[in-house]
Amino acid sequence: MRSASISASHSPAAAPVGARRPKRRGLDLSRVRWWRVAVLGVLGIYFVVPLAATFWFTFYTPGTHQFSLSPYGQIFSAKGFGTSVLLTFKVAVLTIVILYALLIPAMIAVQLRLPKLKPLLESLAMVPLVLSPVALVVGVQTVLGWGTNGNPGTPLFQLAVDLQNGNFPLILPIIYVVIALPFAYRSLDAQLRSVDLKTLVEASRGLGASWPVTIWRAVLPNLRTGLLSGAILTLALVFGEYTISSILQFLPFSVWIVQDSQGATSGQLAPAVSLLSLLLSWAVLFLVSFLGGRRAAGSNRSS
Amino acid sequence: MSVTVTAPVQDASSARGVSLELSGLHRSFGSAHALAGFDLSLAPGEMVAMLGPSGCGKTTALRIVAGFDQPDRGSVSLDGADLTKLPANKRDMGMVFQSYSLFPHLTAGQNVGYGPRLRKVSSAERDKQAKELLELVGMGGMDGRYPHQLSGGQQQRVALARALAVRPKVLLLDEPLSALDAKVRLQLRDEIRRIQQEFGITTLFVTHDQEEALSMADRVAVMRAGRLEQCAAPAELYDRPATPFVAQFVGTMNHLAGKILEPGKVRVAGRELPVDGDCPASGTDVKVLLRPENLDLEPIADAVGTADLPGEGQVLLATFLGATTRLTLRLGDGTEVRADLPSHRVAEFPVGSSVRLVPAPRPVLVVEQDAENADVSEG
Repeated sequence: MRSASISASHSPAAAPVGARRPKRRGLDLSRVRWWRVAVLGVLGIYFVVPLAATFWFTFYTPGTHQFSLSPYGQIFSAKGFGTSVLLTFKVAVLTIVILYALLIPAMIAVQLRLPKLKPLLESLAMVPLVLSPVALVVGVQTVLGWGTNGNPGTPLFQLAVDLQNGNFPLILPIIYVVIALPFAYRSLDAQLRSVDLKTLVEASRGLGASWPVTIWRAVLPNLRTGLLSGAILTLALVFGEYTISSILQFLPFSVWIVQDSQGATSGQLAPAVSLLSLLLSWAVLFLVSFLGGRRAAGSNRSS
Repeated sequence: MSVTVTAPVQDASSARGVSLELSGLHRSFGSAHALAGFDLSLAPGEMVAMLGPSGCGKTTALRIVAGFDQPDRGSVSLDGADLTKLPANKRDMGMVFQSYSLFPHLTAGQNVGYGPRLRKVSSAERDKQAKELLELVGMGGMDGRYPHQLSGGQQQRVALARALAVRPKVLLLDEPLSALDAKVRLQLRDEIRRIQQEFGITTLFVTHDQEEALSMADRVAVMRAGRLEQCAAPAELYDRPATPFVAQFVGTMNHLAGKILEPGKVRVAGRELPVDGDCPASGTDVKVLLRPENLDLEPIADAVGTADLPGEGQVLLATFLGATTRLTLRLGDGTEVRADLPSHRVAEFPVGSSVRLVPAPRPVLVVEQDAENADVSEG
């Protein structure tokens, strides 16, 4: 069952298309090819041109007609780079942890015990999609204001201050959990559909496993692909989120890029960092799908 | 395939000697009563099959025994100890499910070792146990395979080994063969029975396949609408059904029009037969239940027979079954009747010929016409 779901999400349509190609070539060669080139061309222009332009901008200075890769060298020595990346990473990890701690038990409970609540859970999980981040953050500010505008020394005041601690603003993961909810829900839901959850749980319970052990040993391993893709989406979302953290005046990676470019001597640093972070996220994606694929391949072999 | 290994892991004495008692079980889902006062008791080491039409509550009863469902009323007890309130993971029962239930992320060996691992059995001991149990179910050397590399029948074998690995007090089988093809089903049927007897483990078994129930179980519990109709050994169930429902549900049954002559006597197909069990008042029109093997035939000479006397009809079809041949007849009143004759006698009754039914002179069950209709619609 798992291998099927993995091959569906990873080594995807490629195989069937490749297998079909010889037939089509004999049939209707020129037309099919032409459309392919056209579609790929449009896609290429749409995605590659901005990236290429950004790259060009980072190493060519029009005024002096000089080519230099020095902006990329400056990144790592730039003030605040390490701190902001680390902060964002920590926020992302905490977001994923809270998100799954809430979502996994809820989704399992609904699937097994309260299937009638599923439409409700589904629509609740979709609400953040229609919620503008600006509106959300204004609301959050208001609520935080109840504490910070109150008397210093009260628990509410202290809570509001702690949540906004600049070293590690807990309020960010709390908000990001809401924003990432639709994506994590979708990934998990797709995976849950491919698993016979009821039988897995009953088989495990019947063999003597408690609920927590059942979830840990029997359910989660079979949801791994969904959990991974949900986590990747959340990670990407947290790294790219700008509006909320900048309005709340924190300095995660995305905000640091913009602020630094305004203060830096040349404008080339910010796009360089953006490109680099894009490459990094790709690397993470490939790494994760590679690991997932290897596990699947491993499970196909008898060891 | 069927390597005979004596029950290796279990010390058989611990598995023997557990009796299971289900008493007064009630369970409703909304307005539907899945169980309405269901009682059943299993002697130690006995294998009982719960048989019935879909929706009769057999699966609900099994799930209540396993602890996956709670009865509204009634209790389940093992050797007299009430375990109705005990959660599923504390019941020490082994269950084999209808759908493939192996953990897809674990190998066959790891699946078998899942229960022992929870019981803190060492990894070396688990591997040894798993190998022995897989050998026992005819899956020796396959412990490294993943479920998706196994056929349906092999998966159910592993599932059986996994259930046995926790040394369960009771083995529960929820239609374990229904997803398999016919040949594998027959093979596995015999092996489950062999292993069950070898371990002497009390076993409760759900099936909708009467042949499966009759061939495997020590006793068969026929259920209907959440109640037990009859629980008896297969031969008794077939020969001496306690109720018309059981008579019709188990095996093939003919329904012939008849009339009660006097208390305990019915006239059918031109003969008088003693009535077994409840007998309606004299003069009542009834359906008489007759097994195909209890019907004999005699030819009618063309000159005499126009095939419209009671119990006379024409041969429509002959189905060769080996030692016997099943003849399908249409009687004068339109009823279709099946009669099983030794194949060597069938030449006397070619298709299209006129014949007269000769019921064997044995006590028969009768049903009032209305009552019978109700039964049929329910089944």
